[in-house]
Amino acid sequence: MTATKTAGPARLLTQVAADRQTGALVVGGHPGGAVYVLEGRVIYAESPAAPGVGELLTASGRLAGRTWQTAIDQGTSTARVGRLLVEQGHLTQGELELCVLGATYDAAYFALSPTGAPVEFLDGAMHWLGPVAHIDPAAVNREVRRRTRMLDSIFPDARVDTAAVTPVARPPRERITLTALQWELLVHADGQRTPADLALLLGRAGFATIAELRRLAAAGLLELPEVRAEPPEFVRLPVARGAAVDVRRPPPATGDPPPAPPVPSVPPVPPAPSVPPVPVVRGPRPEDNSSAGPVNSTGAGTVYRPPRLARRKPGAKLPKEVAGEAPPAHPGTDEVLLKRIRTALRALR
Amino acid sequence: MPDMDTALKEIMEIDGAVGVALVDHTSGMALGTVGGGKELDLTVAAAGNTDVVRAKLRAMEMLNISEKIEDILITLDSQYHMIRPLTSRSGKGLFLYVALRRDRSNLAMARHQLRRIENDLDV
Repeated sequence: MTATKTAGPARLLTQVAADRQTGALVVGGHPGGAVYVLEGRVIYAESPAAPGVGELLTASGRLAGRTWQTAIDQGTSTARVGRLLVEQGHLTQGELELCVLGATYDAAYFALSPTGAPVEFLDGAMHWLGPVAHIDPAAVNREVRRRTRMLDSIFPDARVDTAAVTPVARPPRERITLTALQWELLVHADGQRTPADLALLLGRAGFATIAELRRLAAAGLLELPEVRAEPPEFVRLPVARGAAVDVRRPPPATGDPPPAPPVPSVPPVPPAPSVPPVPVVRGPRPEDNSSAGPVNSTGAGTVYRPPRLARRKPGAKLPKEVAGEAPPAHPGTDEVLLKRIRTALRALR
Repeated sequence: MPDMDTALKEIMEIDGAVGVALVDHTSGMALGTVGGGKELDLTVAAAGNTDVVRAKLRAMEMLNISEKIEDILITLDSQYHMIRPLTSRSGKGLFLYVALRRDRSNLAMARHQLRRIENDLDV
């Protein structure tokens, strides 16, 4: 039996549980996820926004990547990866249970918190981890609601949960105090990684990541998504290259100089000693050309100075003329790519 | 440790224990509970006491104390509430929360037993 419909995933889970069914509740949308049910009890949940048991165990250093991979290879087909790890003595039953419980509730939050999403129930589907924990679906739904309320009480803006994380360039206060996880998040946030990327990278629970990000946002330490949704701030271009004179600049004064009102207020710039013969342009800097009206240029030999490039905000794009073809944005893949290159280089040695 | 429930049940055998919860400090969720009941909702207690732990950590930070919390004791008219952060390898970010009846428990013994169980409990 497979039915696709748009509904509250939480309500459907209650229904599935009441019928004591076995299978997977697959929730579409962003981030989406899947909740695995065995005879009406939740045994596991996964979501792209929440690191799974494997990521948690390997990222924390509890299991070597190879150990985990071996267990996956041996146990996936029979859905007993969890039991294998305990039987082979890599984990205690208690450790595995706690890890599965934590990962399940974490992923369940992302899968079940949307009020409306395409939901599909795959009858009979089983997770390769096998049954480790058996959780009452009502408890899962209750926990999801509690977490939603908790996040909203910290900072009621759900966009923080999905948008790429950009720390503010300058903190709003003189002194700030961070928790360890907040520090890790800020250090690894590069304006491209989303909260889900950061959770996977750091091996931290997705919900804990979001909660800390909301706390950071409440403290004014994150650029809020709406600020960055504005057209990206382009770098001011050098208008012309070489020694050409800017077209917008009025022609050099011909004997009768204009009154030039703004200049007298500006303290005269002493001519640079190293280049004495070149007449120095006085008045507003060239980059203010667009706003300033007539520029007073003393003497006929106007020297063109390329305007300075404005400092870019982290994440701001270069203008096309300078950057050329923008590389396709694959948040997170640079890490993977670098790792591959490293492996390849090692193999060459 | 065979499994979490066994450890929690062992804690319930401490004299006067009314309820025990193993709580995830990052989310405030009870990963496992034993005991409790109508007068003591352990999931609510877990969430509330996470704030207690967080507040205490913040207070210590402001005082520039870099020590760890061994346990937090709250004495009520008729109950003791004990919070004990776990320090084991994979127990980081978890704490035990135990409610004891004051008239039936021995505080020193209870703390001693809890410490012993925590040492056995390699979660």
